[in-house]
Amino acid sequence: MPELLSLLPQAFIDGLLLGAVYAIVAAGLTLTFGVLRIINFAHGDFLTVGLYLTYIGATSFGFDPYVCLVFVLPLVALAAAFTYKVLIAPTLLDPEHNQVVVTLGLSLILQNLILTLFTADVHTIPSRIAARTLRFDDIFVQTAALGASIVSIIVCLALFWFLRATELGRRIRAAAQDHEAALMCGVDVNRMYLIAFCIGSGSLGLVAPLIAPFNYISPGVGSNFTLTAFIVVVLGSLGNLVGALVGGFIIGVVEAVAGLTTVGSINLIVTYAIFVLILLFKPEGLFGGRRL
Amino acid sequence: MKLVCNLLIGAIVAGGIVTVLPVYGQHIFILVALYGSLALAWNVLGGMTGQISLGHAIFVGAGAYVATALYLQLGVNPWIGFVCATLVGGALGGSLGYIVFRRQLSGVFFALVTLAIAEMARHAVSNISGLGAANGLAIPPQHGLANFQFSKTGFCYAALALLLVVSLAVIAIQRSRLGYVFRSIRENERAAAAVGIDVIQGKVIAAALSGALAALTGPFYANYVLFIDPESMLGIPLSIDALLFAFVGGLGSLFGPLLGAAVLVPLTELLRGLFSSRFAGIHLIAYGVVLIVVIRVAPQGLWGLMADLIARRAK
Repeated sequence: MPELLSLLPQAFIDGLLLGAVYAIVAAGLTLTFGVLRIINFAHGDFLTVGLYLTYIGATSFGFDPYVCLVFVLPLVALAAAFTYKVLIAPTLLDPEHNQVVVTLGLSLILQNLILTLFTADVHTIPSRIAARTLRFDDIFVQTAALGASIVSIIVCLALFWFLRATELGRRIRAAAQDHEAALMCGVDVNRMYLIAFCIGSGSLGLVAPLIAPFNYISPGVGSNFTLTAFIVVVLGSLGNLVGALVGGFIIGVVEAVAGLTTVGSINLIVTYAIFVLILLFKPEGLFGGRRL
Repeated sequence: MKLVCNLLIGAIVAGGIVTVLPVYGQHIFILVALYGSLALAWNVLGGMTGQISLGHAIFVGAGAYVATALYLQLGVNPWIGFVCATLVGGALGGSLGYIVFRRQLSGVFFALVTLAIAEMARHAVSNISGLGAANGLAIPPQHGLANFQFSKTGFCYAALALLLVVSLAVIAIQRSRLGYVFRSIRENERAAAAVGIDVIQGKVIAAALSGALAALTGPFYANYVLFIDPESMLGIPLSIDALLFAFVGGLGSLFGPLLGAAVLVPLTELLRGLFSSRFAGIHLIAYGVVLIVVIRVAPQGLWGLMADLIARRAK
């Protein structure tokens, strides 16, 4: 037990770093849900697409993952826009279960397309720019992980600011709160939906190159993130960006600390249990009422 | 009565076809019957009652693990294992339904809870050494009726019998008062409550029946393959399969889910046979495409599409 105790600060820091990444992935999901009222089961697969684009950039052209950002972000955002036009927009008025099934189908297609093209091999993409490990007393921190978490936090807060303080953000919130009233006030609701979906899913194009240096890459990595993002989003209240940030930290720390004190994959049972309990007993999440 | 007669005739014809099928064809036949049974069971909760579950693997896995563990640890006969599996599946479905539906969870949230609970079960079983942990459990081959282990042809008839049992159960449910209760809940919960239907009780019963029927397929699969592991018996792909066949076949119809399995399973095997060496996930890409096309083009599913065609022909 004493040796576990001495590892606790390290686990705590690892959890916070991981939690920041969960937070940004969840922020995208919560934005698309908050605005479009659609739960996107293919959310994490956009992250996988971004990771494999980074992988192509790194192996075929020898770019550093961070350099890949230049083309990964626009490509993923473009893919999101295309998805919205072709799949999401036509189902917006359908029954809820049809939307679930369409995004599930998209997830199957994306995941297995990547599996078919790149095989199930697990890859890593080391970065030359951020390859150092910082040491604070007994705690080790990878610079890449630190960078990714700092950027994630900034982007989360920037999204919050964007929705609160800019004209476009105001329009998006109007479309989210009452699309008919927004329509009558001259807000182009369809366009706002498109923009919200592009930001929500396209932000994963920003996350992918940032986590590529310290996260493994495989066709199924995105669906793990989707599940975790659902948990974070529900914990931090659906549609609440600050909630997603706090929820991300909580789940990251819980996962890391539970992983330290248990064997095997029992720590995942803990996070799923939190998820189920929140849904059953506090479905409005920790932060309740406040929507976009 | 006409429906039951047609079903029996269909079963006899299928039984005749089995005898002339090659071994590989018989394997596909068994898979169609198994997945068809699972999709029919899923449809009791998903199609009839309108509660979309993303965690039906938990019932299949519970059935498979209960029967197999009883057989391996205590020497309980697999036939009794089937009974135990059904009871456990029903109890599990009922208690999960009771917990979840009493808290008014529905729609996407119900789907997410079922997904999370099935994943919890998968991780739990993966860490219990008495259940073989992540390595799974192997059943020693011992042919014989008593051990529920047959030849390929024998398994075909057993699968047909299983499918027949599930089909008759589904017809019985559909025609009973419960069937009307389920459909009224699906169409409009508030209206159902207003005419005096106990909505929560109805959903709980639907979950229990659906779980019990789904649990039947678990021990069958275990005895057919002689090996079970958490990944294949409790994993998300199995839950998605159940939902997929039902959606593609047609959610609103009684036997659409079976049609979905009958079309998609052979397609899967064909694609796997053609491409598996080079392209591993190609059949799942096809699943995704078929699913989206069906939802967009024919929301009533293949069954609805067929019924439309027949009606037009009759005119």
